[in-house]
Amino acid sequence: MIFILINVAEWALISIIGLCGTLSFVSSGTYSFLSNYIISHYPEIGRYLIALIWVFLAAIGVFSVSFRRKGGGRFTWFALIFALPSILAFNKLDVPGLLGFKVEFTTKLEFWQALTLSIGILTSYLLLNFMRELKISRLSLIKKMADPADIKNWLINSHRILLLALLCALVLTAAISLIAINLEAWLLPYFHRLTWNIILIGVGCLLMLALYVYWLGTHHRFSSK
Amino acid sequence: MLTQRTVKLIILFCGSLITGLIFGNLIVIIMSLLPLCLLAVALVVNPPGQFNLDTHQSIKRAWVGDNIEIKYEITSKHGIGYFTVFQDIAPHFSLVEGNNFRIFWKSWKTQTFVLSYKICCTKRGLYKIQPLKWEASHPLNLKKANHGTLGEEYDLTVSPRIFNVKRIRGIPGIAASPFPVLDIARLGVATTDFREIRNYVYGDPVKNINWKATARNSSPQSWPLVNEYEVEGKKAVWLFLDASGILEVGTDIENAFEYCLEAANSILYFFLDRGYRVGMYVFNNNDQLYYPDTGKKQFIKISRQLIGLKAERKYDEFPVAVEKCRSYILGYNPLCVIVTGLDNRHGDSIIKGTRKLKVLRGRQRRKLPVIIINVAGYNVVPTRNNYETNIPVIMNLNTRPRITQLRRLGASVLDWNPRKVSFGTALLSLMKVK
Repeated sequence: MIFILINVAEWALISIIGLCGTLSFVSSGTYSFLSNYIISHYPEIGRYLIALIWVFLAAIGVFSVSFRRKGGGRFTWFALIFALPSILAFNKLDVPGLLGFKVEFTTKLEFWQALTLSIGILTSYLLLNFMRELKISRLSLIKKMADPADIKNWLINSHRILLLALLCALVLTAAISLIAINLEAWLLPYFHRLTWNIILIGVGCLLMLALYVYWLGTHHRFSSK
Repeated sequence: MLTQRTVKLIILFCGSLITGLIFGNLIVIIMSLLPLCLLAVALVVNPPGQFNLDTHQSIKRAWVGDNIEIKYEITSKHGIGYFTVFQDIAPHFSLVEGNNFRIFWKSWKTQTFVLSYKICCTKRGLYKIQPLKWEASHPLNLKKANHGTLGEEYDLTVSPRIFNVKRIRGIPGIAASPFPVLDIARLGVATTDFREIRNYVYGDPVKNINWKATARNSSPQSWPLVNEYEVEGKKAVWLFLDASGILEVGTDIENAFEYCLEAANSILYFFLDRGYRVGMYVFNNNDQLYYPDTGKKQFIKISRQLIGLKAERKYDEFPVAVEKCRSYILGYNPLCVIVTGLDNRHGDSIIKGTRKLKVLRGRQRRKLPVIIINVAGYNVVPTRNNYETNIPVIMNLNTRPRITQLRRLGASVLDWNPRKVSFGTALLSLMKVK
């Protein structure tokens, strides 16, 4: 039962990556250009274009991960290429322009929507990769003639801890990104009231405090060993 | 130490961060935080450690065919994740119950795990039981796995089986075979060593009747019961054991040679337990001679040597062996027991040797005190098809003239098929009285 669940979860993750890639792609200006061309030439296909892109991406994922038993890496990069026009639309530096190319990326997505889709792709990729490693470990344990009950118990606990770690990482990432994005708006009014030397001394003290806490931790670890 | 997976996550973080910084893309920069946060969360956790071996059952001596339980209780106080425990066992042990390789999941609290399994000792020998090996891994394999051992190495001695031959009882009469237990002791003085209670037969002294046991006997028609005591001056027994490589027919675990050893061990135990003087000569194997002696010490001495005995590529040394034991045979006039296999092309050397034994005994009308135990090797070979099923039959037909020749010489031949009958039952077939 657990092995069926793992396979289903794997396919679900592939679908999620495919969906995130498709949604990002269809919101980009590149898609508008492509869809206009396809609809004008093949109007029957144009109606199902979004679904076709999704199915295409998911099929590549299933073929690569489930049948060829490769990691989710190549497939994720492929899905990321589809999501790239939307992500690059949020560039603050025009690097292609600096190199002499005139490329402009546009998207209909909001910043948070694009971020959620990108994080969705990356999270699914990490999960897929860890699940693949667990699959390999499971096969090696079977080769070593381990008890099936032991393997099952290990597999359940490993997946549980993987999900927990990833959830914690997501929460932490969300917290850091929230703080980072809003930090300027929160802190600038306070900083405007302070003189520059107070800020400098304060930042220095904060760094020293952080170093002291780090040293305490290291010292404690060594002394306990 | 970090693993390849950790390095991959660090590369993913660095790559995304640099790309995000180059393009000034906040989405890519935030994306780079995910692998970093995952590393930060996961690396806080340590793999299981601080293992203690609480109880440990170690059996140091066993017999072939015995099932031994090996049990360990392992306590881990530190870390989260899974760890594997494994104990190397020699290929001659078969796993009967449980598993010698286990995976345990350790949660954040102190936990005790039990590794318990049963092995069957299939072959004699001196084995080293290795200490328990453990390998503790990080739950997401982001840190290098730790290895170690628990407990200490110890020796396990697996002795050849002793077949139950205790049930062979003395039947008064003139023995048809020269089995010393059945010989009527005309000159032997009865000792105070009690042997058994048996039914009264004509000629038994009245003083030997056990009246209490007779009264307790429920049937009024039954004969009185008589106490029987061991007699002094027991005969000597000389054991010839064939250790030729040609006997290793069968598998490494079950072959004719192993059965020969078990038969020799049983005979040794049987006679030494009854106070006989037993000597042994291992032929076709660097001429190992054990001087005739009595008691448990002699059994332990020879049995210990049998544990490590290996078959050699020598074939027809039995006549030479008889020549080498000549002085003992002439001096002790023992019952000679030859444990060998006759169903091979070197079986004729046994006939030559028996002929020599007959010469050493001189002219006597009585039956030659020689017992040949023939362990038919092809009976223990696993058969794969109908043709192979017939091999033992053909080999038996091939051996028959040899057995007839030996019987003509006056020797008793015991044809033992270990797959069909126990050694004790096979020996009973020799117990004939005239």
